[in-house]
Amino acid sequence: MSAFAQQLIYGTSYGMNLAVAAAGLALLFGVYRVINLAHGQLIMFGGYIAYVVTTGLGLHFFVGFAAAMVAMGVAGVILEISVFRILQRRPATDQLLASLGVYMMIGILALRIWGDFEARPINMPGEEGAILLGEDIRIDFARIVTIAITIAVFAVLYFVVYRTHLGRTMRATAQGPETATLMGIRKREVAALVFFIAGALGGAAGAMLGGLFNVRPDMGFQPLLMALIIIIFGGMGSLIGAIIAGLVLGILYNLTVFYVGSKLGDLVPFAVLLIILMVRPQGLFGLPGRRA
Amino acid sequence: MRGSVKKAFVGAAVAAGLAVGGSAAQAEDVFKFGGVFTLSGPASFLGLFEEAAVRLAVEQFMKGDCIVEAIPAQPCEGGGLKIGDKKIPIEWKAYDDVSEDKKSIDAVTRLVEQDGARAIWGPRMNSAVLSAASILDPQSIISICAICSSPAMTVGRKWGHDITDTGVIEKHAISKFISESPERLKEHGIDPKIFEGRKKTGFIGRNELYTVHGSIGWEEGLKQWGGKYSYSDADKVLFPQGTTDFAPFVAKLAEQKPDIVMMDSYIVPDMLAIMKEMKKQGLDFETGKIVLLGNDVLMLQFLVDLAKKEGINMSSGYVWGWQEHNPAQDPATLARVEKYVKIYNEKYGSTEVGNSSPFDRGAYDAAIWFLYGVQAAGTITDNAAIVKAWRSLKINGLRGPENQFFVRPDTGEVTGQLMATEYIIGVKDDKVFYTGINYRDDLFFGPYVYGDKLPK
Repeated sequence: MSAFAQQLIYGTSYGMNLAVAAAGLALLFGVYRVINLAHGQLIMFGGYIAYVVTTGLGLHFFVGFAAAMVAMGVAGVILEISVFRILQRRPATDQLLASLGVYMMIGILALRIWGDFEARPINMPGEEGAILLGEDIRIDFARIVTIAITIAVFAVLYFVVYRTHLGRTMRATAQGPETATLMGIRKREVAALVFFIAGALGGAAGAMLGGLFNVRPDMGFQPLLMALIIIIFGGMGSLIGAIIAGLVLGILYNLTVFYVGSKLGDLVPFAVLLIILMVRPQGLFGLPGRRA
Repeated sequence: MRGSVKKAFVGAAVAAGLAVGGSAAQAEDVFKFGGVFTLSGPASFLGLFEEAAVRLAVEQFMKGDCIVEAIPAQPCEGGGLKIGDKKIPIEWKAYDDVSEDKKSIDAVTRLVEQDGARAIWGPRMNSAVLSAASILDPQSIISICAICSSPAMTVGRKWGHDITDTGVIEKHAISKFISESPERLKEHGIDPKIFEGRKKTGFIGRNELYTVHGSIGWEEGLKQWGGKYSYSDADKVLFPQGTTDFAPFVAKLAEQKPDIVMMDSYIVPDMLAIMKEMKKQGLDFETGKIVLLGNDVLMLQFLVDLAKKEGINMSSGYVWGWQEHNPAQDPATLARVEKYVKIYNEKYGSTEVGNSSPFDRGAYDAAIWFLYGVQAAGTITDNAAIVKAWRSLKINGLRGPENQFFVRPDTGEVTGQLMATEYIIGVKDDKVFYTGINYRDDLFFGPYVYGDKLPK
């Protein structure tokens, strides 16, 4: 039983991190109808920014975390202006391929700067500490920190999207871009805002994932893959769906690795994806019209 | 971009010899060989140094400045391969596979069909090795790799050459070390109590063929050396490439309650992450709760220094591994290494290739050895003769003296597998040290060494 509880804890922590990564993708798709594969590299680069600020400059983790969010938010805006705005009226496949190109470019850039051979640890608060429940259950402080951050991030995100004027403009654009424009909403500003938030969420995920272990150039791929499955599972464009799907996938992944076999962990997300596509293509919280 | 290595195509490194004697060599009088390496992308660190070392070897051969010596002696006079009275220039061409199987195979095909290569270096990836073999072997093209560490390079292959150890042979070595008698350990200043009362072993690594073979070698070795320790290949814990959270995998390992853990990974960030998580989950090699064993990457001073920076103490006396290169070099080897390192670092140190490590030295050894072999064959077109001549040569190389190919005692056949010596290494006061224990001949057993084809 304690082993099961331990895996639930690990799975919750992992799933929360994935949910943050997926929320950025969900937001982009929900408002802008684009799947930005470069998001995986924003996660990775966010990790490096946090590394530079915390380990390199010796500043507190939260400073590094904030820096990662801001830097990747700005990177998101740059991407919007330099790539997606230009390709806005082109087919979705063009945008997808362009984002793949950006993915490769950012990956090579990171390799050139930091190389591949070294691990880059991020100094996290309470890194070595843990709460012990009985003899067998351990909750690392670092995981508590990431779970707490995730909850805070989603609370702020929920507030921005559902309780502010900015959020209303984003939702209005998502529901009907043409109507929103006719109502005086500046589409370009909304797009830049959405890309900023999505990038910032990627940066946040990178700082947290990197904080648990270390930062490396290939760290964006697995979260990207999982995030894509999460947004399909949770419902394209749904923030609530991203949280729940992230948690479910994170926990299922851990339980599978532990109880079924270490080689089978990767099977779970794809099995879930397959089932969802067949049974409920709009995902858990997606609208019927928004199929994957 | 630092350095001069181009991503899509790495150019020829010959020129020096082409004009020897004031006349250009005839096209048919050029020995062409090429390679497929990962020169860009996340795994480029595995290809850049190998390509650089082979390129340097070709240049050195053309200059007549071979640092490695052949046994029996072979001339290295410069100007190319000495075939009879002629000097045959060497043309070297390399392609980047970006760590993708398809690009690997495309490049192999291009080298054979368009570039006319007589021998192919690489590809590295285990999955591509087998595909490349299906192209190269039927055409009698010599296949070489100095970092593949895969039985797939040689087992059941007439033209394949693995100029390094394999994941199987490595595990035979380290499993022999932990099965040594207390007396033998004491002779080398190792406290036998380190292994006393330990029985159960665990295995963790990245999910790839190298590790799969390693696990088999680990199980084979533990049985071969007396069965003092328990392990089943079915218990291995494999994590996927790109893993960002190692907790469930280490938990799976910890659940087995191992006394000894074999960590079969060569990806530094993965290794450090696993070690950190092992400590957290009670698999503590700092206090001796477990003994941690690892490979030649774990035993790099570079890694020990990195681990220390991350608060991981590898000097507890409970961390051991091996290296394929003699760390307590004899004076002659040391002199060769010093000369080579100076040349290599001056050439590549400030580029993206970086400074020399034991790994590029192995590739340099292999390249010079091969060129001596071609020369000894007295032909650049008869690959059967080249293979025969090459395999009959030994070298005093950068890895140590008397490198040779493995000769099957049952058939007398000289195989394409390097008979690598494995040197057992420990860590003390944050410095790696050679224990004085090494193994070679008795590591060569089992179907992954002797088999006529790879077991399924």
